[in-house]
Amino acid sequence: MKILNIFPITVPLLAVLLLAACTDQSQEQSQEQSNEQSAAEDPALLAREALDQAQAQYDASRQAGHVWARTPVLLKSATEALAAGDFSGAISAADQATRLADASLTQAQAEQTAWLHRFPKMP
Amino acid sequence: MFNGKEFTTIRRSAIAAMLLALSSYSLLGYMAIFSHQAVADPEADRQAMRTFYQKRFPDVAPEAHKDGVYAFDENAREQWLELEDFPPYEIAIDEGQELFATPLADGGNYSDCFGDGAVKNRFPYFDEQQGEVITLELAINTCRDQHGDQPLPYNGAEITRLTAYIAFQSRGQTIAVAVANEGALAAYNDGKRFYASRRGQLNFACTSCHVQLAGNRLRAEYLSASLGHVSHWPAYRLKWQDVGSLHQRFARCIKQVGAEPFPPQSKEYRNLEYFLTYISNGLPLNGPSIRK
Repeated sequence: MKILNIFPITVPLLAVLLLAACTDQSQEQSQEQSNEQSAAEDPALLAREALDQAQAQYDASRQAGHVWARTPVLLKSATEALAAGDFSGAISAADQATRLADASLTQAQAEQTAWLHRFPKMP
Repeated sequence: MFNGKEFTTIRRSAIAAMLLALSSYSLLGYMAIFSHQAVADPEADRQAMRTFYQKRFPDVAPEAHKDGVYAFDENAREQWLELEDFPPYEIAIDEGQELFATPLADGGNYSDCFGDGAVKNRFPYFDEQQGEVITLELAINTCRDQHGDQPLPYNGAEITRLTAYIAFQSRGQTIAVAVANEGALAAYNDGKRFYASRRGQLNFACTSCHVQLAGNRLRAEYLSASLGHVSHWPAYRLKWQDVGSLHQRFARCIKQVGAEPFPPQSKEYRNLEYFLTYISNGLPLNGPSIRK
């Protein structure tokens, strides 16, 4: 009986809450999209992203014990370029560092078994 | 006997069975080779290396590789022998002798740990308790620590002068490294893997030059054999204009192939030294020496 009494209030209330939640979600989504768009357009953020990626790949190659000498040099250049506001220079150096670190990781992977065949064997 | 459809089915089954048998055979063969290579047998490795270099350098006795390229490059050997008349490492030996006798923080000195200094053939060894390879440089710093002194930097002049003196005192001793337990075998295998792994942007392994191409020229220089690579350190390098350590030489090699070197006395280099020293078992110690 009591349920029936509150029914006329509950239904509109739930509807309003649902509407508010949906509106909020769509606002959040549009905010996220707008953030992503601005990130895609912001060279500083793009440079930061490229540098983070290069750093992560460098760390992985260090973990594998196969760091190539040029990688940290390029990482340093990218960091310095970013600090100096040269975003395109930072992205270029960071991308090169990423490519080198990727290649050194491929080398580390290949060497896991390839090394076994490089020693003379007893006839 | 069979109609066309049955014959095709039988033929397909036979081909499938043959392929299966072949692939199983290949897999078994591969596993046999792989497991044989993966399980390290240091003595078999050493013998295989000696046999390989005997074939590569038929006129050079295995023991002669203690002199590196001077074992087979006549011109370089002559120049080296002339330099040995007044060796540039002599000052390092004298300074090392002085440091050896200098009191440490608690009044003791290195002779408490190393006697008269003729101890180089005891190193490197695998310490089961510590679970790692102990080199002479590590032992020097342990000795300093036991006497309440600060450790020496591994790429510094002081430790190299001390090892130059100890190497001089140990001349003529025979290299006799043991791989006596599981931990030692793992360290040996780690060093072996390091030696044969391609690294750096030039994609070279130590074996590329010192096994596959040993005896060939790289620009104007002959490439030496792996045998004897550890016998003569520390060495006075004309390029450095100073006496330097084996690990400094490792670092230079690693850098030359475009890889980032490891620090001296890192686990990687100590295991590499352990492997290379085992391979040179039976050769006399003849450090310090002179190299280009």
